[in-house]
Amino acid sequence: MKRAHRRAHLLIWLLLTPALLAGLAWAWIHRLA
Amino acid sequence: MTNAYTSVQWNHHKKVYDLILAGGIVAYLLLFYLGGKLFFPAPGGFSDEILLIRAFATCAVILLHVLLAIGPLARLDARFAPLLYNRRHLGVSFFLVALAHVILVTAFYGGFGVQPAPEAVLAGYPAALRTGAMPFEVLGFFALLIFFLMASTSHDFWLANLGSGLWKALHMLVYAGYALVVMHVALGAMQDQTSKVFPVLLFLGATGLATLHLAAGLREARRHRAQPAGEDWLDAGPVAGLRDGHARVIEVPNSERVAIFRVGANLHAVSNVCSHQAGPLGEGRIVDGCITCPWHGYQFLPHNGQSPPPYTEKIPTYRLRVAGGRILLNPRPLPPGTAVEPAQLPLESV
Repeated sequence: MKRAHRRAHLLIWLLLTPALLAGLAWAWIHRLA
Repeated sequence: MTNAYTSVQWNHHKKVYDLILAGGIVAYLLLFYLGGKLFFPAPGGFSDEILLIRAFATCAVILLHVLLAIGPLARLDARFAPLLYNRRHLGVSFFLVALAHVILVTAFYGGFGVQPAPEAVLAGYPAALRTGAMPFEVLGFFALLIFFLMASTSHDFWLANLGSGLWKALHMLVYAGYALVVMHVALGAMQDQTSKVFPVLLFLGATGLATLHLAAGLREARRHRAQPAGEDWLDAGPVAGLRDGHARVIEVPNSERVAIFRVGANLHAVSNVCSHQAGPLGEGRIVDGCITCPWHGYQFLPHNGQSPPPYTEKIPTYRLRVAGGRILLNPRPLPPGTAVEPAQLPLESV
C-alpha cells in the first residue's frame, strides 16, 4: 500500500471511530426517548 | 494481469471463490426466510415480503462487514491474503444484494400509492420528522449511490482510464458508505425493534472494524526504518536471515517502502508498491523467476522491475551493495523499468 493510502486509512478510522460511536449512542438515546 | 479488456479473467481460484460466495449468499437468504417462517409462524408472523426485505438487508450488512475486515486482516495475518484476491467480486455481490433490498423496499413501501414509488419512500420523511422519526431512508439512498459508483468502476478498465489516484479516492468512499449504512440501520430498523440484538450486533460490528483497522495501522507504523550508512546509502539490515525467494521490506524516510528480494546468490531491490493496485510486493515471493504480488498475482522481473512480455507494467528499481555483512540500499529510486546489476551475497551466506 502506498504511504499516502496508509496515512489516509489511519486518519479515516481515527475520525470514523468516535463518529460512529457517537452516532450509535445518539440513535440509542433517541430509541429510548 | 491484463493487456486487453476482458470482462472477467476466470481461473480456478476465482471460480472457487465465487462459488463459495454465491452459495453462501443463497444459503443465508434461505435460512433467514425459513427461520422467519419457523420461529414466527402465521397468523402473527412476518409476510414473505418483509422477510425477504430483512433477509437481503441483513445479508448486505454482514457482507459489508466481511468486505471491510478483509483489508486489515490481510495486513495483520498473511493467511487472510487469499481473501483479498477476488475481493472485488465480493464487493459487486454485496452491491447486488443491497440493490435487491432497495428494490423490494421501494416496491413494497412505495408502490401502492399515487406517487412514484422511489419518491414515496424518500420524500415521506418531512411528515415523519414532525413525529420524531428520522430520515433513515435518505441515508440508505446515498449509501447505495456510493456502492453503485464503486461496483460499476471495480474493473481494471476503470483503474486504467480514471487513473490510480482518482480510482482509489473513489473506492475509499466505502468508509463513507459504511458510516451511512450504520446510521441507516441505527435510525431505521433499530428504532422499531424491542430486542437488544440489533444494537449490540451493530455496535460490535462497528467497534470490531475500527479495532482491526487501528491495529493494522499501528502495526504498519512500527515497521523497521533503515538507518543512514554513509552519504548515499541506507543500512537495510544484515545479509543473514533473508530467505531465498523472499524479501525484506525496508521503510525509507519520506518515500515509499523498498522490497529487497533474494534470488539465489543475488539481491535485487524494487519498489514495495505494485503498479496495479499498490499491493505489498515485498510480501510476495519469487515465482517462475518473477516477483509476484500477493494481492492479484502481478509479476515483475527482479533485475529491471519490468513485467515479463507481453505485459508492460513497470516499477522503480534501486541500487544495492553488500559490505561487512550488511545490505546497503541507495534510497533514490531509478526510473521504472531500469535494469540494475544485482548485489552479490558473500559466498559463505549462500
